[in-house]
Amino acid sequence: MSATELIRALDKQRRDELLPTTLEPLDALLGGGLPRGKIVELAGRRSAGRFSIVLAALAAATSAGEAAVLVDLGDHLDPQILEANGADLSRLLWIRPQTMKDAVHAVEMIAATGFQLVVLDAGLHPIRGKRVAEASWVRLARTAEAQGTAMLISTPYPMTGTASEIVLNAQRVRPKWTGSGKSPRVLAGMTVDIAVTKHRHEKEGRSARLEFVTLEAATR
Amino acid sequence: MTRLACLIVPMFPLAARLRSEPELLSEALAIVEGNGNNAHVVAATRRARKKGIHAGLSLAQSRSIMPKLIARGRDAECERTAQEALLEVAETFSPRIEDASDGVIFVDISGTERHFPSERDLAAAAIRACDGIGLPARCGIASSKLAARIAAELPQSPTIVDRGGEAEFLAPLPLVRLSPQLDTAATLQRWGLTSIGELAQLPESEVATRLGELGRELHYAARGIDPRPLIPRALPPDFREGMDLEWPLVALDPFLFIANAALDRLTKRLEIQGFACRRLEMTLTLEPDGYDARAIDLPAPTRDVKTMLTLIRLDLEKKAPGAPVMGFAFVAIPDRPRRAQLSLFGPSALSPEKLATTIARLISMLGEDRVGMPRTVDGHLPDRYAIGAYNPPPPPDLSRPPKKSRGLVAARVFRPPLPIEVVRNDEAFVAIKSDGDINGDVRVSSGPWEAEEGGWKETPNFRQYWDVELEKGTYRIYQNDGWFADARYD
Repeated sequence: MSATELIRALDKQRRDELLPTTLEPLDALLGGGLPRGKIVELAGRRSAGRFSIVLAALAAATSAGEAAVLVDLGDHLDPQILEANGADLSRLLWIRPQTMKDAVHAVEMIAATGFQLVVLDAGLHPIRGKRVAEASWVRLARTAEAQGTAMLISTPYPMTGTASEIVLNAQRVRPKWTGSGKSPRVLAGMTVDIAVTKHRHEKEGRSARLEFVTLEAATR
Repeated sequence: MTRLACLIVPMFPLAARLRSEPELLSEALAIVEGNGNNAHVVAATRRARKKGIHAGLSLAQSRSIMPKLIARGRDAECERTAQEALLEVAETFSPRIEDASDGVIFVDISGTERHFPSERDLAAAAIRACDGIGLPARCGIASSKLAARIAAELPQSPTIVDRGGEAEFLAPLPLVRLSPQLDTAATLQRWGLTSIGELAQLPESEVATRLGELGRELHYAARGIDPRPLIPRALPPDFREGMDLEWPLVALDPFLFIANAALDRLTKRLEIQGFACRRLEMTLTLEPDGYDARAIDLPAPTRDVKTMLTLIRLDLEKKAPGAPVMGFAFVAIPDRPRRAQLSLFGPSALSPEKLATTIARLISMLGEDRVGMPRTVDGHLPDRYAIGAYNPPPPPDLSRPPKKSRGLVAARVFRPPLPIEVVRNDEAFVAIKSDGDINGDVRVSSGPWEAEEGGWKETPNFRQYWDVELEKGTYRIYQNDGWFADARYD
């Protein structure tokens, strides 16, 4: 095997590998992790655990030495929580656009640079700026495929249409509190249900339950 | 034996101008020197020459022959940058080059035999490289500077003079080729000499007796002996491009159109040398007098014209020059582009140049404080953050498994915090209202937690925090001269 063939084979092997989020129920739902070269859309309304999943995916990728990007339309990131989650902040590029159009443009530019994980968090409803044409998502899907980039789009409602490989729907169950009676109450965590509403190669309708804990509860 | 190549750009002032304004190539254009009645033609395009315009004619005479003749003054900035570009092309063939005069360069090609099948191939490659930067050049190769220069001046380029064949090559050529400004030409003509070979056949001592030291040098030259060594030039610390404009520009877009072409030439020159631009300095010549100098630092060395142009646009939009622009000069401070080490078994590395270009474009699109690496900040208030320059470490040599996530609940921070109205019953929260969508009865709440920063200040930032669960979400709220929601648990 020549060096060129070896490099091509390793590149293909790398593209076939999944990018785990290390949230076991979610990885099981995705077949092992986020697929490289594809768009996974995560939709969910208020407090549905979308941002917690986004941070977990970023923490997992950067801790493995991969370069990752967060395009943070709502400017919501708290670097302290992300670092506490195990992320290597030096490998994360944080982009804070002000409109959805700029956000999609930024994702397209940055994906073409060769980042292994690109996450677009569209923030809260209503989304800033005009709705993005479906053609833009198709273009993003092509860029992701060409570069072998795993792309996670987190939105308050489904937006990517036919461009996404998998669409997940996040539903908040209830936050968990500790303490009752006269003892002080503390927010301890959150339970989130995730359902697959679209999958190009597997059956839809499967679901999983994720448990998140607050930093205070985790350090107690 | 040293072998020298000479690169000559005929009608250099015209070639330099056409390099900056290539659309004038097919026009009847004359480059003039001097002002008013003293203005005279120094070079003209083929179309103008066909009508009888030639060097030495006054502008008035030229206009009487061809009223629609386009006249452009000599542009020192154009000529300087064209000369630099020519030197840089020559440097791609050999590190030892001499800047002889405008449009004339000597290159020591000794030792390049292994890179080119023959000297003719080398000369053809040099001509092609000059064409690539918009300068039509001729090339001559010989063992002395004089012979190489005369060979380059001949129309059938490239001309190769065999080793030791300089005298034989020069012999049939007219005496004027030895030096165009030959004062003794008339004397030699009176002696009945017409060719260089005839001068070479005269006894050296006789010529020296009659014409002095100049005669001895001429005789040496006629025999192909040129003892002058090549004087190598030192590498310039920066790269420069610019031009004087025919009329003052007051709008940004026409300036950027011209700047685009100049930056394109600049980046090509940087590429030839294997450099990228780390810092771009821009000097604008203003009307009626004065300069506007500014510098743009690039996030990393880049050769991307679009990025540089966008940064220039933003800089000029932020602070306009304040007067019409009569000319401009760009100076690129060069640096080696960063290279990525490819990894076979670890995560793929980002291309530093591509990354720098993309980040520069993102900064120009979104603003400097909106792109970078998130950084934690020491303190007590939970909404603290910082953003720094993105400069990731190289990826690990071997792929490693990710750390298991702690599965922490993330707080979506609201920047700035959203003002809310809190309805309380004794010590318990009853409801929260706001102009946005943070509304509803409070199901569960916990707190307060106190946080303070700046305790040493006269008015420290003291806040009391609560977590509250509403029907449509769980929020972090605080009280400090009013009530605010600063995050949603998501």
